[in-house]
Amino acid sequence: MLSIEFKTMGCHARAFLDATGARAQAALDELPAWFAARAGILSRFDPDSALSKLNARGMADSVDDVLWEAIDVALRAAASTNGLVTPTILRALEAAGYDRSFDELDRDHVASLPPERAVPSWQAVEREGGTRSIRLPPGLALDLGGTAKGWCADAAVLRLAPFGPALVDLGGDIALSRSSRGPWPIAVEDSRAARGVLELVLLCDGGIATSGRDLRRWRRSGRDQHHVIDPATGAPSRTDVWTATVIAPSALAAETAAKRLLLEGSCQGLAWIESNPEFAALVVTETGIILASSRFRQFAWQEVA
Amino acid sequence: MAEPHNAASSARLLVSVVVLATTLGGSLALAIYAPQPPEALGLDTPLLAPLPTLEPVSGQPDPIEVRARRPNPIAVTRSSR
Repeated sequence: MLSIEFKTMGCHARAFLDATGARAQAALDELPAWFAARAGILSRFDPDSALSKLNARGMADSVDDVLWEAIDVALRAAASTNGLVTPTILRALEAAGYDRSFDELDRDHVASLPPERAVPSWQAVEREGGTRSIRLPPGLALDLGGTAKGWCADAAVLRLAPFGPALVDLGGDIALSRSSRGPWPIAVEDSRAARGVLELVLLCDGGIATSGRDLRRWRRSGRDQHHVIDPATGAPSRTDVWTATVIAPSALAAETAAKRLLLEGSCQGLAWIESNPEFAALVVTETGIILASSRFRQFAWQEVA
Repeated sequence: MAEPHNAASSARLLVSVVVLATTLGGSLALAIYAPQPPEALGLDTPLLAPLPTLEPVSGQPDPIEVRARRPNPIAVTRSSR
């Protein structure tokens, strides 16, 4: 089993490739540069990225392929969640205090918070396919953090597919392809305990992702803030979900559904999971209650007496 | 007078047969639904053969055995960091 570890897109990444040989090793070795190129286009913290330039100018023509597709993916996620998981939250995220990379963030900022108001609709983003043009109305800026990592992890597994089965872990958003060795064992972290594990799941392919308000947290004007913005209020979500882990046909679908759960709350979110047979979920609520969808147990490793 | 005596004897015999049959039947039913050792029923030989033992089919993997060994996780899903 070949493997590689690196930092990219503000998180720790690892990739495994079930193959041997120089070509497979070379494909794996190329991954950090491949991710770095994407991060350079999609980062909202780099003022020279194509995304930052689009946000600053409110328009772009002949948009780069990666940015065009990443925006398309994000807008499709918004459409599929009735606007819940939307890329149009950037100004609200900045207003909440997340206006620089998390490592550089002032974790206890005294600046006041703006009044709550809904973020612009994803449908306000204008695209013209022929010229690859994008127009953003005033006050609308894009953050692709809700979908880009899952999408890139899926793309990386596809990139490695000619060489063998692969697993790509981008800061906890994981894409994987079927291996003859059997299912990939993946731990679901229990953020309430140091090095804690909630469950061990066995996955053959698709993706798994966790979203939560347990890690990227800070305070502003004396109030707790986190990075998952409710588009209806423009403020961090306030549902009963602390963390949500979703198993889905792809890392992108898992990441989108995990954020949906965080935004909808455990009752409505798990009802959606139950009504979609390709998904399974594990939720930890604010009060520490653990809820699993009915299909989650079929993936969980269980000790046999 | 013999007639009633004989009738009473026959009736007592019938009752005895019914009681015996009921007792044996109850014991048999008990033996079927709650297997007990033959000695407990006052019998010398077992009424029920022991249940056959299920043997695994040779050459096939046992999925429970495979899952019984906890694998080491290759990755951890968590909130992005």
